[in-house]
Amino acid sequence: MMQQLQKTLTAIFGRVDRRVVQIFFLILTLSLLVIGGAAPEVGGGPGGPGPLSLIGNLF
Amino acid sequence: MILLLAVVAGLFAGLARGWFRGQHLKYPEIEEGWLVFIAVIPQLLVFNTRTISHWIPLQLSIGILIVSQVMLIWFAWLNRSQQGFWILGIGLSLNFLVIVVNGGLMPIRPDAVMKVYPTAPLGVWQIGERLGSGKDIVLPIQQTRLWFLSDYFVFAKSSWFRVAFSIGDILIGLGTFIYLWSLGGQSTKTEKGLVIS
Repeated sequence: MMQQLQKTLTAIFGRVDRRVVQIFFLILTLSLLVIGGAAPEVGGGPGGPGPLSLIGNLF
Repeated sequence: MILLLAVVAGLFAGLARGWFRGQHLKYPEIEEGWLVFIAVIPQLLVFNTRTISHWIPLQLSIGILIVSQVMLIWFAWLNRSQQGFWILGIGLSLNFLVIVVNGGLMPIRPDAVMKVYPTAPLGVWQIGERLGSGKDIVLPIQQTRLWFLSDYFVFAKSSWFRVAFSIGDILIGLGTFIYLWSLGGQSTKTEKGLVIS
């Protein structure tokens, strides 16, 4: 999977160091892990707390 | 999303630790990282993409969440030799436990919802119903099994940042931080991994 990621990043950015890919993969994996495993309910935001339409939505 | 701060803080802490010790950041290989992607991407689509979540039946969403949590616990178990992963795994398991015994969604008490969303219009959320299109369900403490593991704790001191969270969430953040912090420590020949310069 990491090889595929390296190919993709190389295609986008040109020559990419394998170690950069490893760190990128690590951070991506851990970020997804905490997003998927945790379930905090976050409100508020710039300009004051928003309506429930903001709950858990990225798009 | 708030727990991404644990990832960022842990990474900087690991880098700082390595820098102070005059060492490189090491990179232990994570086992079966693909499991996380397979587990979380469907969950993101179902719970975080409004255009999709409205089309997915609740029972299917619950099924996806539960399968996703099982895969993440499995991932943590496979990587239990890494520092912090035991704590992370326990956090995942506690969240999973309270979700399963309460019907498949994370319970949150009504007064916590009011603190997190003080300006939410009346009727937007209801007791016994899913909160928006997220992972939570609004349940009074009396109707919540293992309520102390639910999104019981609230931080609402700031007008722009309010959050309800569980013990499991804390442990997940803590485990992630410890793991990243450990990358700044001394690497040994017996440890599997690479050295980042």
